[in-house]
Amino acid sequence: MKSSSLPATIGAWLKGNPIAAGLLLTLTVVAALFAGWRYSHSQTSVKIGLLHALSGPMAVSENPMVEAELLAIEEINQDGGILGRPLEAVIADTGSHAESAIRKAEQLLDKDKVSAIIGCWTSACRKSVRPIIERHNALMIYPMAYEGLERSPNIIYTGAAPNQQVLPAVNWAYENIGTRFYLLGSDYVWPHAVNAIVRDQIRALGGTVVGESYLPFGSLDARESVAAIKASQPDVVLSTVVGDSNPALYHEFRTAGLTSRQIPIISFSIAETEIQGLPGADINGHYAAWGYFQSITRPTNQAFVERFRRKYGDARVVSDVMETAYFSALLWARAVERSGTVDPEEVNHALLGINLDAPEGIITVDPSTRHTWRSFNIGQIEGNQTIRIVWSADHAIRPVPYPGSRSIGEWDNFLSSLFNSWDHHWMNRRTMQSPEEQP
Amino acid sequence: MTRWPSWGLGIQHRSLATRLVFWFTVLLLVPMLIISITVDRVSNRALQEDVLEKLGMVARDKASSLEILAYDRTRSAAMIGRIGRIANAAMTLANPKATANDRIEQVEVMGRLTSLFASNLGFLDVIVVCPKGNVLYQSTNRFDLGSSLVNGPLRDSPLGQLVKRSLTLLEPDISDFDVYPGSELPQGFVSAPIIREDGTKAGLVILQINDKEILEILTNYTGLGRTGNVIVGALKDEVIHVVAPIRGRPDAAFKVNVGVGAPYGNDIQNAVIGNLGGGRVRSVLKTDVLASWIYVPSFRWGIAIEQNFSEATDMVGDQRMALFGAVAAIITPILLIALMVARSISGPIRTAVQAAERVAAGDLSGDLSAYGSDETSKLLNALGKMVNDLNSLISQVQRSTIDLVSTANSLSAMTRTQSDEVKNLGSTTTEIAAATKEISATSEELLQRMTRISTVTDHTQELANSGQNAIGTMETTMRSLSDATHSISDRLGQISQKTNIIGSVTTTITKIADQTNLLSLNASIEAEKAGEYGVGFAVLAREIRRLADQTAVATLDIERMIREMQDSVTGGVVEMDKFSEQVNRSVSDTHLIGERFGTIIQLVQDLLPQFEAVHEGMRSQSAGARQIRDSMVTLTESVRVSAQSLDETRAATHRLEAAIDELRSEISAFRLG
Repeated sequence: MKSSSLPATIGAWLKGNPIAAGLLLTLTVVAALFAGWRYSHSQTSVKIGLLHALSGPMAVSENPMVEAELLAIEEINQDGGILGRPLEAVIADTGSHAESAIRKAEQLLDKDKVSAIIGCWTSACRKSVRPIIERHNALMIYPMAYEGLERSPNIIYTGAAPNQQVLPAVNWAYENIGTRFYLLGSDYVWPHAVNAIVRDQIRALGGTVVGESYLPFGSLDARESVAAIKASQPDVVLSTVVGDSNPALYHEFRTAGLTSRQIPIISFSIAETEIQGLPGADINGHYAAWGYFQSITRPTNQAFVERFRRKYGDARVVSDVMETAYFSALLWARAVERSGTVDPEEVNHALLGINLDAPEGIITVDPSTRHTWRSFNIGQIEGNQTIRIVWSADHAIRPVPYPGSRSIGEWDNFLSSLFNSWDHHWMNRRTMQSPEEQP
Repeated sequence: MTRWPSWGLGIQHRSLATRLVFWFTVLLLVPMLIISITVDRVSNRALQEDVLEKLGMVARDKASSLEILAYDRTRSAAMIGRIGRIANAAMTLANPKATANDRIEQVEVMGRLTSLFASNLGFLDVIVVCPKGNVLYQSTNRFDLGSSLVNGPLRDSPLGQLVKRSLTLLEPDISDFDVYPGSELPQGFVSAPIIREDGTKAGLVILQINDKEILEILTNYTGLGRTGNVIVGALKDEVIHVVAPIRGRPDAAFKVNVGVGAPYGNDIQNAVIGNLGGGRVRSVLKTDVLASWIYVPSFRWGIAIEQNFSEATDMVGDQRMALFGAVAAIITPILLIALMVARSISGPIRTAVQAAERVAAGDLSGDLSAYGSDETSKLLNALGKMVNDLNSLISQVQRSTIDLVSTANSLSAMTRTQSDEVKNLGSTTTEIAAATKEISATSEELLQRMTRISTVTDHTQELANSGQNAIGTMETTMRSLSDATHSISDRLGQISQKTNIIGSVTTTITKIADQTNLLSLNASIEAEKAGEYGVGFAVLAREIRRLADQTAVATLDIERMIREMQDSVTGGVVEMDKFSEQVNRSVSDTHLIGERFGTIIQLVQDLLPQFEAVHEGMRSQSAGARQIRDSMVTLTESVRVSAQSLDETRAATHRLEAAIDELRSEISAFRLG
């Protein structure tokens, strides 16, 4: 009954050594507070929004982008996260509709409080979402090659600008294929803008545009356009047809008896992923023009493809948009480390001038244009659904979002006239057929 | 009291001053060391970060200068490419149908314009190629006119690659730098499309960059100290080539290489793959440096700004010295102060310790007084008072010992005297015993004689009865009787003398007994004074007193018996005298005996009871003498016991003396002040 228990002994010791007891208490409190602070701080994850079409006509192209971004996020977390905190992806489905994209963007910024958004494929999506981003003074990274003609202070454009994709492709085609061009695209802002740029260039080169037509967005019927192509007999078709329209296009093309040897199609829209879903007979021998192809022989690229396959399966392929989406996340992470904060404004500023050893090469975010120095390649689709590079610029090119053929004002006017003619949308909905495709 | 670790120094056994100084030093040194080390590390890190930031600024500055320069050159080249007359000249020169004169003229135009613009806009050589890549014009004779740069021997060179690229990209572009045949210095080129007014392309103008300005930027080492360096590298096929001179190696361009993955040159390795950062690395020159690295996208160069680590952290060395000096400067006076304080505490304590040790050794003569009112002064004062008290106590004890010694001495003397007296008494009592034995013997003798006399008297009677003619015999007998009575008288006189002596002796004994009693009383008192030492002695004294009392009582008995004896003797003497008278009368009356035979017989018969009385007297005397003898024996016994007791007393006194001696010897160890 009277034997001293451990608590009694400790209590007696504490009473007998008040200074030691006080010190111990202080240390315990400090340690607890510190641990609690560190714990709470480390557990708060940083959120990044991935705004892509997981359903609808663009899903085929945008799903892989999300996968690539998730791979990047996983690698970032493996490396210790963002400023010691885990990075969490918040995926929002635009459904390939601009209005949904707007709503989702707002949700990402207001409710999920993401630090940045990587998103969109179509320029329609981007242009619709842009006002939201700018209004929130948020940060968005747009990882898709596009028509340029834009410079939002809240967007970093990691996809190719016209001088990094469209213009060199035209030049190459002019030198190597022929001087008669047919311009074919989906009916929304990007193809229209690209075709305007291309027209200027072809004229400067001395070539001819023998035809220009647009497939309704999401349309699966390319017969009319193919017939027009057949009729005009160009040397080369420059295609800005996107999404689900592509299988129809290539199939119809072949069905119409047109071969890639006769009239090669240089697409600015299909890549390794889309090709996987297309029958080889339809697509072999046609071309694509991108900054990145999976077949680039760089150790960094080979390691990247390997990592992607390890996560998603050996049968998977990697395309330019996926690679761009992937390194966009890494760029953002690097900018956060550089600026020491996830505050969108600070990171936005820190992103300018950042270099990164991306799978395709060393890329740089150009401070003056907010676009990215990227390389340029022409690739030909081969029998086993691979793309062989036939021409490469070898190193990154400085981006020029506004082609010099027109002034910035002229380009802006061009765009706004498009926008107005489409009832303040960035795609031509009048030509879209089925009700469910109406945004 | 907590036990502190001693760390093998045995601290708790060292002196107070040492311990105070030691712990003070520890208390001082430990936080100072912690602070110094922390400050040193923090400032070291801060300095490094500072240097890295500075280097980073230099790097960013140089990179931005190079980007501006590149942008400027590409713009200039683009502008040159849009000069109408150059475009026309290019068209003409490319036209196989052009005349020689036209060619010469256009070459001259080309030359004039290009050289004008080129030199002003930072270019050296100018080459113009047609849209197929064939050389149309060149400012210096490098190639054959009309040779292809795209398919010719230079097709794999950076120049050839530049031409190939630019013809398709139709944008100004910068080539990689390289060393070309005919020149030892590396050359880089800018190309731009030559665009006619109608927008069609007429070829490509290639301008060699005048690298003077580039070199100026790259070899500007201001802000980089003595050892600062600028390493510029370009990556090609896993090897990084240094493309510009390095400080200390002006010929470094394309001579110094680093393979990707090499354990040195980590700064340039990072730079060429687009990383921005800084840190401590081994440079391409294998030195230990702080470096900041950056990528220049226009030239595709990695730039590393370095500074030798030792030079960069020079200040840290100075700071360390200053810190060390400050620590030393602080420690020394503080230690001295600590030592002083410790001494001021331990000094008085040591004095007190020494004083205590002296006291322990027995030296009470020291003087301990201290001034002040702190604890050590109080200690010294208290100690001094203690010593003084001890001093007086010891003196007191010394004095008491002296008294004790004298008392013991007198006691000893007295016991000796007493012992002698008792011895005397013993011998005297022995004498008395002997005397009384004699007396007893004499009495016996007398008795015998009386018996004989009685017998003789009877015989006389018989004789008287039987004859009267024994008167002559009777007369003789009377005479011998008279002699006998004389000798009896003598004897009685002796006895009387002896009893007198006994009387005097008993008086002495009584006196002695009294004295003994007094002495023992004294002894008791002294014993009391001597405290615990005297307890045994007091007991002894009590015993002595008792013995003395016994002795007194015995002597009283003796006196009584002597008086009785004396009375008896005196009675005997008187009787003797009477007898003698009668005998004399009888002698003188012997003549009358005849006549008086009857009277004689009557007388003799009358004598018989008297003889009986004398007999009785004799017997009682003998008995008395025997009694005396017995008493003497008892007395002798008592005396013997007394003597024994006295011996014991003496022994006790000796022990007391011994104890006193011990005490004295103990006390003598103290030296008094």
